[in-house]
Amino acid sequence: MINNLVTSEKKIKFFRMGKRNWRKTRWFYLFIAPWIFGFLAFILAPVIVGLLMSFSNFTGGNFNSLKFIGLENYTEVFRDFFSSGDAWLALNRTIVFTLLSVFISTALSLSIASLLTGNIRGRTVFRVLFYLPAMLPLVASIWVFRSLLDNNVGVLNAILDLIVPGIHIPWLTKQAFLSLIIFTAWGSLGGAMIIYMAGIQGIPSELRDAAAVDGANGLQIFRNITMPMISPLIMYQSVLAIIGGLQTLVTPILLTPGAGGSGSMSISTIPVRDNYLFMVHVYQESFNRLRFGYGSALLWIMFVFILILTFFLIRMSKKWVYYEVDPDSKPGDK
Amino acid sequence: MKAKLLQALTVLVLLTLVLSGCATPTPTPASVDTTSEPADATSEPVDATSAKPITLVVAAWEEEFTNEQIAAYTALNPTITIERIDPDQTKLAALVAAGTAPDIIRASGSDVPLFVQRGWLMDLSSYFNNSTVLKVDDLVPANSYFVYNDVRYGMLKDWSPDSAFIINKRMAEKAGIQLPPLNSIITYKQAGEWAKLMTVWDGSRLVTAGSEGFGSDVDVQNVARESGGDLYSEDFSQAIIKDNPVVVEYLTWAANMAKDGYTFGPLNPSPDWGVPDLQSGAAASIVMGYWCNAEYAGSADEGVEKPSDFVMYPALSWGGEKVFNTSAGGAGWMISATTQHPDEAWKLFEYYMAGQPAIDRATSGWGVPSLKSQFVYMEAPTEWQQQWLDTVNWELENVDTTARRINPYFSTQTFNNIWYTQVEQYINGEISIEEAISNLDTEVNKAIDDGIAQK
Repeated sequence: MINNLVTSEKKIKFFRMGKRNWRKTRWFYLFIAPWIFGFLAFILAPVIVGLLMSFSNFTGGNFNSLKFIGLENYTEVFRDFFSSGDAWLALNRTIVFTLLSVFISTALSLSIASLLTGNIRGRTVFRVLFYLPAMLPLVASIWVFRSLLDNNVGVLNAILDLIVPGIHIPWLTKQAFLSLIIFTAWGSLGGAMIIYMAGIQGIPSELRDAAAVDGANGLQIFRNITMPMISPLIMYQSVLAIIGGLQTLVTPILLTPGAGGSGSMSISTIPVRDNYLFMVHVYQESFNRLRFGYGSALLWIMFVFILILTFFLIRMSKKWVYYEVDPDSKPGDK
Repeated sequence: MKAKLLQALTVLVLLTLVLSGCATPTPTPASVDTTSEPADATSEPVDATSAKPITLVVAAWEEEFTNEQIAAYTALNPTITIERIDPDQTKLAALVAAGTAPDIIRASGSDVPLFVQRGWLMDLSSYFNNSTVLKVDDLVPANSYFVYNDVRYGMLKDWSPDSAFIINKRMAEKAGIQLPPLNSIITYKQAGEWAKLMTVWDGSRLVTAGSEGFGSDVDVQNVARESGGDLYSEDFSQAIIKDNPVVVEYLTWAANMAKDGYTFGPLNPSPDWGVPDLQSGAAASIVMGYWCNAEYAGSADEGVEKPSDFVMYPALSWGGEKVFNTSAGGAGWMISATTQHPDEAWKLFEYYMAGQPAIDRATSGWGVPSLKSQFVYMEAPTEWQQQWLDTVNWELENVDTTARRINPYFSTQTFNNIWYTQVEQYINGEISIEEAISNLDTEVNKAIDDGIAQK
């Protein structure tokens, strides 16, 4: 009997607490409700639909003959990977592109950030100039680059022609991959530079002063103080850039469209082979060949690949990223 | 307690007011003006049974279905609101996939079989049979694009036999070329020889390509038809490319023209596309259609080259005896299979295809009318435009302009993308021309197999 009374009292207390908590938190839930709704409707639901689509023969309109085909799309993707076809080429080119563009972009943005945090005349102007590409719309930037790099009527070749008459480098065809890397590095420079500059400015000046007093030169200070101190930012920026690189779609198609898209800026065209990236392959299969099921399978494989890669990078970061506190430590650990 | 209830009710009322304020105001049936007089038979208000306000979503480009035309139609049919969206193919595929297809779809005639195959289109046969303004007998043969398994799904808004050969007379004369009389049959190889003479290189810069390029799916269809065959088997289950020696010979020739730098190609793409390239002097000849006379007429003073120098010949021939112009380039309208307003959509369809918008199109010179009865509206204000119109009329009488057969299992864009990829590898020396053609055959047939498997 006493036990029952105690239990009832606990229940009443719980409900009272619940009500109190609800009063305290209702505004919180009310305010985040639009975001939760947006997340469910526009992110989670499409992701689930995409997953279901990858197990189907969906072609965009075949609702009457839609059927579950199990892992058939996934099997075909792996078969294509091993048959050295377009899927393999696309994966191959994407990995090379991502590694190169991330490396070049990181090296450039870090170098420029270091320079622009020092005492250079007109550094504010340089900061603005270097950040400007990050503010331009992608398609407009591509259009400008095409005008600069066009094989026959490009500005760059016209300038080169003044220096070395008769020289015309086919930037958008035979040097298409280089052009893509340059464009990507140029476009991502500003954003990364700002982050690195913030990181460098946050390093206590005593550390550098002490190193200078001990006789360290600029390079040694950069290598032994600046780099370790901003390594969490390099890690963060690199992970984002790698994910972005693996998901590149529009740039190669519009920048280097090959014969099929000469002149026009159409997403339906196919870029030159060197710039046939993974997402271009996904786009071709999904929207040109209307193989939405196969395209979704490609995307899910890329998703898993990115997930594993990110996990691996985070695990590896313990070896080279300097954290002032142990990231694995728990509150109270000594 | 009462105070809380009052608070909750106040919030509820305010929320309702805010939400209703956000909603789009729709006219009530009582506010509909039914006294407007129709301008002509095709723009009559829809019947009383559909007096409920509705919205028709039309996927069409703004310059083809203008705001003025929309306003004119909705003024006569106040219960109908028209929402125009761009007919981008990707967007369309996504809308259909999401179950929100537009009521009316604008697409190229060559896309129709694929759309039918995907089940996107409504059967319009009975509408055509019962229409007083759109009669099947009055439709030009190129409208066969819209007939699939004896079912009619739509019609062209206008069209042109798009494989005509257009050459810059000034550049030809400069290269020492004696052009043949108008309406002569010119072979691809002859056009190729002229292209060689007209090509201008400045070091490694291509200043003028003798010709824009060859080897598109349309050219291949023309050549295949000329050989007595077709690009596809009877049931579309197979593409016949490497097994047709004439097609192989043609593709080899086209790839070599690009490789040798007499035309634009995958590794030396055009700075723009055919029409502006001819006008800017980047190309000395192009394969294009009658429609672009309006483009040139509208920008006659803008280009380096003058349209009066552009001479139009009929479509090129491979063998030199027969000419096939199977391109029938043109776009048309169709009605979505999932439309909730088929009758209203059809009324708008009739207005667009036979009413004032159709007459405006015919007089503009942008294409050949889709209805024979509207040929009378075609105009040629200048001497060179009259020459183009004469060539088109000559082609309509003397050349086989039956539309090419479109494979329903894959898109023509896929064919071209595959071929350009192969030519690129051939020019780079990675594969031989035999391998390029064999790969084209394999890839196209694989794409067809995929399409059939997804049926």
